[in-house]
Amino acid sequence: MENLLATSPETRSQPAAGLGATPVLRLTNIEKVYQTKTIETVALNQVNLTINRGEFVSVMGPSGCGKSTLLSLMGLLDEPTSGTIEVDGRAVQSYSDRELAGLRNLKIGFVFQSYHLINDLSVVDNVEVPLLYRKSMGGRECRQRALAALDKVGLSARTGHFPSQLSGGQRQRVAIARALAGGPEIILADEPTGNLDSVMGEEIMDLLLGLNRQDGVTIVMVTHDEQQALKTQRVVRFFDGSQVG
Amino acid sequence: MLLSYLKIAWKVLMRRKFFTFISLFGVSFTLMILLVVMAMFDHLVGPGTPAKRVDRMLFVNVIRHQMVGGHGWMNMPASIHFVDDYVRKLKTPEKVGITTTSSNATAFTKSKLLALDLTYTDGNFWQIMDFDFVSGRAFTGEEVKSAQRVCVLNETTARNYFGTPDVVGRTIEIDLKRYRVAGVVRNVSAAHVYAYADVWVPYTLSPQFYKDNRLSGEFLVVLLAPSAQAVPAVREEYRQMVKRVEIPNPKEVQAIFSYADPVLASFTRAILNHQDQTVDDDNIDTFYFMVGGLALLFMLLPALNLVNLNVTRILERSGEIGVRKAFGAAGPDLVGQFLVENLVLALVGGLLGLGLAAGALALVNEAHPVAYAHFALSWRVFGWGMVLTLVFGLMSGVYPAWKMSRLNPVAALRGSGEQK
Amino acid sequence: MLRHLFTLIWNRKRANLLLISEVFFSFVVLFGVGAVLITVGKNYFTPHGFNYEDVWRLEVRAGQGLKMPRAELDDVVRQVKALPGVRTVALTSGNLPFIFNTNNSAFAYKGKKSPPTNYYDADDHYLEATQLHLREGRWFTQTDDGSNHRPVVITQDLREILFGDEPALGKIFTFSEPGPNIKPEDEFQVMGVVDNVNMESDFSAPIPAMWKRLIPYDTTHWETASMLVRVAPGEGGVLQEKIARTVAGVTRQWTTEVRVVNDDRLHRRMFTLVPVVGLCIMGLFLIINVALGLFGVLWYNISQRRAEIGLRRAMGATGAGIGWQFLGEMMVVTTFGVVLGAVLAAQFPLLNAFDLPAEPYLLAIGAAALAVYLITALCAWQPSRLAAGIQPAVALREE
Repeated sequence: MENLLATSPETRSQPAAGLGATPVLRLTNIEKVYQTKTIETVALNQVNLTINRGEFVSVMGPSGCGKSTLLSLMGLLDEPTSGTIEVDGRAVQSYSDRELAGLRNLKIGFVFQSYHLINDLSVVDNVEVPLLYRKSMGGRECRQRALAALDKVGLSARTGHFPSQLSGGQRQRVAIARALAGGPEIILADEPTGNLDSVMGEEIMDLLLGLNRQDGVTIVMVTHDEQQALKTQRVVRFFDGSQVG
Repeated sequence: MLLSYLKIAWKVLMRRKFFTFISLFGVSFTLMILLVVMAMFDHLVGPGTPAKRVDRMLFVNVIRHQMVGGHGWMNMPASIHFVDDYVRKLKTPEKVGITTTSSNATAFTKSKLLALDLTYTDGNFWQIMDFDFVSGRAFTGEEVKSAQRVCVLNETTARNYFGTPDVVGRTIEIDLKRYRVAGVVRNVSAAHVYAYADVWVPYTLSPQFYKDNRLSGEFLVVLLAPSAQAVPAVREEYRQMVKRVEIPNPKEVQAIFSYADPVLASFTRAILNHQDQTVDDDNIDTFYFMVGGLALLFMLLPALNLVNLNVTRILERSGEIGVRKAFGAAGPDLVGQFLVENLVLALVGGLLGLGLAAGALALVNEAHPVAYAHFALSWRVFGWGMVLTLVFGLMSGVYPAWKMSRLNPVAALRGSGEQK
Repeated sequence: MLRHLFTLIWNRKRANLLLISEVFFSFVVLFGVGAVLITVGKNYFTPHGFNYEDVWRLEVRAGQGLKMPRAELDDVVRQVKALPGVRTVALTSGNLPFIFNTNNSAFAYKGKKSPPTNYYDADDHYLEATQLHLREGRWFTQTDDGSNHRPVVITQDLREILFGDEPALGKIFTFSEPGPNIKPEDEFQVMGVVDNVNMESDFSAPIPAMWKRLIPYDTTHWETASMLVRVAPGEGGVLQEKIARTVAGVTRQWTTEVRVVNDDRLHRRMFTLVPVVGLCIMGLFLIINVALGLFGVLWYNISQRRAEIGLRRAMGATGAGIGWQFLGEMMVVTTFGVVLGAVLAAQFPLLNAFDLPAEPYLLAIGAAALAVYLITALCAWQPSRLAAGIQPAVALREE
């Protein structure tokens, strides 16, 4: 089952070891300005950030410092006002909506603070969602991949349940399985433990750390929790839209 | 993928029962009304007893006489001379029959006046139309030729006059003239204008049975083509034949025009022709255009209603939309998904509408607004119903789907309905 | 407060646009149905102007191209009139009451032109047969035999159009386009005026009408003789058969039709009733549909705007005040739709569409506006109450 997650060889490489690091995501001179009729808000100011393959990076900072904006930019959900974003060495600013969607589907997995599971779908159906948008993939393969991803997060026994029947921690595991299912280059997690108590938060953190160490998954995590941040390889700090460390 | 959409669609339907009820009410009643109208239309022009082979039939209603010197037009049905010497000589039709529009006749029973609709026909008419005989038989070409006083009655007339439908060989007095009953047929709907009557008698008894060379009389011609494919050929031969017709009174009549049309075209040509009558246009395209426009107009308000509901409920789905976008759904994928959802809703509504239409038609039949008409759903009506369902589903789904697909994913994930 | 509501609606114009268009279309539908119902209803309660009870129509046909000798026709009329139970027989033209047969033309007097006016032939017994209500003058009598002009009786509406307030009796008018040489029988001399008459159907408006006195030689080119027969109350099939046999006794060549005018009336009214009922059912269904939809949308909006409601309550709005606010918002939205609809509907009386008077249109606009306000108010009432009942603390905590 393990190897099912690694079927596309070009998207998965060996865990990065220090020196020979290859960048998965590179942000250069990123600026993001929100423009309304009267006021201009600078959400991000001259951000330069490179995420290498196999890294686990945490992003920290107080509320409103631009962390979430950064994460949506990294996830290609939003476009910067200026600067370039490169995914796997390719700049994406000229990409169409459909191309961006394709890129998100192939390269990026999201984990949200409030899980964002689709309540109307069972656990396994939820995990399948990213695979549905991969036109070449058959139904059987989708199902197998989803089950493999659920196995990875330790939820094989709950594939037929619905989100409302699960605890918060379990829901977040499903969300992580969903992020894993497509075999992405990078997982972007927006305060994945923010809605959980400390015990469950710890479990989720361990799961992410395990994925990073054992399977070499690249992870960027926004967090408030200093303890958690310290467990990751690198901490990037933001204040008022600017990178401070 | 589709399966997943269908699953979601079903869940969404079941989640807010009240909204589902409102939506289904709108869809099903809209389609019910359209289906009822369509069933009536189908009854009018579709195949049905006795015009079972209507797809092979062509009808000639009038001969249009263009008067000399711009003195207008005279539109009259055909004379026997025209039928015998021109129409019956055509090579392509398998059979040529004649009938008339029904005229009022009276029969008296012991204390009651029976108002009857009486039609004159020839022997072929009975072979082109497939009447259901309760007893007896049609009158034959021979009986027509020798102008025998025979008649065919419908069941109701036989019952009203004699008290029983089993009356073959007995005598009925209509307009104080006596006829021998050759057969009794099941009642024919008055909506079948070419076949309906209470009493049928040989055309040779008609006061309009003139033997001179006039062209106008009172006879409607029914041509039976050997097959449905041969219909255009018959139509064309008729068209050519009309050009050769000799006008008996050229000092008054400049030219004549006449067409053999399939049943619907024969109505549309008569009803919708307002322009130059010399132009050969059966107006069937105009008819479909008008009918389609009216149907769309009628569906507009319920569709708008559904659009309104769907748009209002976009917020409910913002989380899902955000997730799908984040995981790689492009705009068109989402449009596709929500269209499928709306089509499922329309389909369920359409099936309900079909059931409601069956009920409504039963009520209409109970009230019988048209004599002896029995309106029913057919497979054709069902097929059209499904087409309409599809149109309705698209009409009411496209805008909300488009709107949903344009939700900003970042905002959607935060749970607000902000647009891109 | 109203200003505040308008601002609110303006800021939500996109969402409200759909609501407004729905209100607009509902208004148009209600206006259409209302205009039809008001016109038809008004006509239904307008008297017919003659008595159709116990009147039969008798049509005797000689067949196309066959003449109807006056002597034999006179014989028929005399013998039918002599039958016990027959009160009177009046010869007239083929455009008998309630059947699909009309003769009309336009007439003029000193430059005043009439709209299309029904004209009938009538003999001296016609008044007795139809029981028209004579207002002025008299019906035709034998003393008119020597008249140089054609004696006619006209309806009150035709009298008003042609003669206004001036006296009409004895005046002579003719066709509005009479041609170069006016024949003396086309010069119509008014002998009497009757109440307005509607011989079309129960749901038609009275149409100006004129009766021309039948002059003896008229019948010789007839192929069909049409008569109205007034019979004693309670007469039926037996007398109908007797009449048919009486005609057959005169000549076997002619065919006879005896029908009850009241049956024709009931038959004719189906032709209006069926489409009107169909229209009403459709309109009703559309309105129920819209009402349910509006209710759903409003109810949903309230549940979406709980936070706003909580805030307003926290800032001192009362529950009732919140309820009124939502009701008021809907009324403002409705007003937009109604105004748009009324602008469209006003084109009908302005452009004089379908040649109908303006009054039913205006009534229909009023009725449709009232109905739309009523429907939206009803739909908004329950959700507004829901809004009024929201506890501010609960609503704010959810956010």
